[in-house]
Amino acid sequence: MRYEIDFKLTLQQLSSDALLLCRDPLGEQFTFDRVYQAVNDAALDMCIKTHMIKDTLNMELKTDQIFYDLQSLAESSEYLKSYGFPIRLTFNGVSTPALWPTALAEIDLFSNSQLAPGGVRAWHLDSVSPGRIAIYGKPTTEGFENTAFVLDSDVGLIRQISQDDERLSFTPEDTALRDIAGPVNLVVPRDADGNIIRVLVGVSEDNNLQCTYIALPDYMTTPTATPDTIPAKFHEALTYRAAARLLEEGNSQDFQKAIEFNYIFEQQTRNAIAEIYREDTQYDSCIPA
Amino acid sequence: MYKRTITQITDDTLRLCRDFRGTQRNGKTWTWQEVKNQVVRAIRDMVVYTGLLKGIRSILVQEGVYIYDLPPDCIRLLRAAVNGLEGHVIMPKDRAAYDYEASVLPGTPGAPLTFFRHILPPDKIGFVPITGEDGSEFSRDNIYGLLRNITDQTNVLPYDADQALRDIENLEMRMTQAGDGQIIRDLLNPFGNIQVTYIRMPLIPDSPDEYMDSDIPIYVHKDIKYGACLPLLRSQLDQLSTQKRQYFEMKWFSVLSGLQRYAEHKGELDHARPV
Repeated sequence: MRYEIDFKLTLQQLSSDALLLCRDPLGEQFTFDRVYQAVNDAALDMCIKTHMIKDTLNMELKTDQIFYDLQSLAESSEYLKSYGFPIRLTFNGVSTPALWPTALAEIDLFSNSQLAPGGVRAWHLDSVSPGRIAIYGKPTTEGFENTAFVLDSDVGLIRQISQDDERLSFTPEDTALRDIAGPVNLVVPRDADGNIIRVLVGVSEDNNLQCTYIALPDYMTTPTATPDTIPAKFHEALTYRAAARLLEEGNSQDFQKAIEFNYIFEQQTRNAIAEIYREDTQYDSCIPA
Repeated sequence: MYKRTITQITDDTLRLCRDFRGTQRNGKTWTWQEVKNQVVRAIRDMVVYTGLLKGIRSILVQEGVYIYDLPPDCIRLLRAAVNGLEGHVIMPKDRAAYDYEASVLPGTPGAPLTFFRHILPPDKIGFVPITGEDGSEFSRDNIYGLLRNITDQTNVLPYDADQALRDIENLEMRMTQAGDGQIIRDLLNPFGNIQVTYIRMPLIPDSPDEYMDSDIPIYVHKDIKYGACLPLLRSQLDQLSTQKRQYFEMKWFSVLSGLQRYAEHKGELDHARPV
């Protein structure tokens, strides 16, 4: 029996395939560094068009503050993926309905102040640069923090949690912490495939906003890296896009090949969109890109 | 990484034009500087076409003055409001409308209700009625560098000058784009002043080895070469250059259309747009 993981292609394999398409199997015309970059760019192209890679971050609300810098938030965390653009905003985790995207022009039509009272109820992007988000409705209270929880180390497994003067320790120390029980709903992101909790974010979802965003795929640097969570059946499409990006620089024959390869990639991308990665609904048309 | 420096984009553009002879080296047809200029032009065109980068500034209102300068990096005015976020939007009204109503400038002093631009130079904005009082002002000791002193009328907020000021409770704060330290450098109390939202010029670093404006999404860096190569290919007479130019033009406008949709995001109204 074969599993899907067997079909996953590594950066090395994708690059070799792309070089074959370029009729340059030994890399005499294109260096491996350039081919690696072309493969990564192809993965980025596919993910941005299909919305395949997503992540969620927790925005700590500040009283009266309506502009938030999501890109900096994502960049400041080593556990979050690189930020692309937002698609959904919720308040209080899953316990309240999502906020609806709107436009500042629409708010202006009703002649409302941007700090209208009544709580956070919508978000908009048309008044801010990419990377930022504006919310409509005045945050009347600060979001909850759980700063009492601290880590004993920035990296590695959690081995000890202290709260005020009370130290919560667990044994054996080689066992990874996987859950915290209690009344506080803590955001506990997990890292790596082992589902081991490595960091404990000191901000609760309660009274804060959670933003689901389209993320950029992890940049592949080592030859054994695979294209993030892009399904294996679409890996071949990446080689065509990568080859096309390289052949675009070439002569007339190369250029014709580049057009052909781009067409194959676009077809595969459309197939991915037609599947479950990006639904073509009314809500999808409200997504910013 | 996905981020590209100006140098990387320039090299990629030279490759597309088949004139690449080494990093930061002149090609046979074009010099490196000529191509770099086209990269900068493409970035500027991208922002102008899509309206991607937004700036928000407070214009300090002075009693008895009704024409003000727009921010120097303003490409297109999107919105004007009074009293910052707590205030209401000021709608544009043609001066001709006032003229037909036989109203005269400067009118009865008060809080601005409308603005006009069509009889003014592009970098000016006029408000009606003429402003009746000064807006609140915080000054800063220098355009560049850390904030070290804040004054409001006669009040002074001192603090350790060696520490960067990052937050003042209940005040709208802005960070300049320069530098990664995210240090607040510019502060103006919005109360009583006009807040303008506008499409702003991109920041291009002096050194080509630096990254461009941090607000330009990383995922389009790789595609800027398509816009940069267009004028270069347009100047060539051979068939391949023509074919490439037509194909890259299509790709470039596809990128711009995606960005424009993002920049003009209408949310729930988006699906109601005619195109």
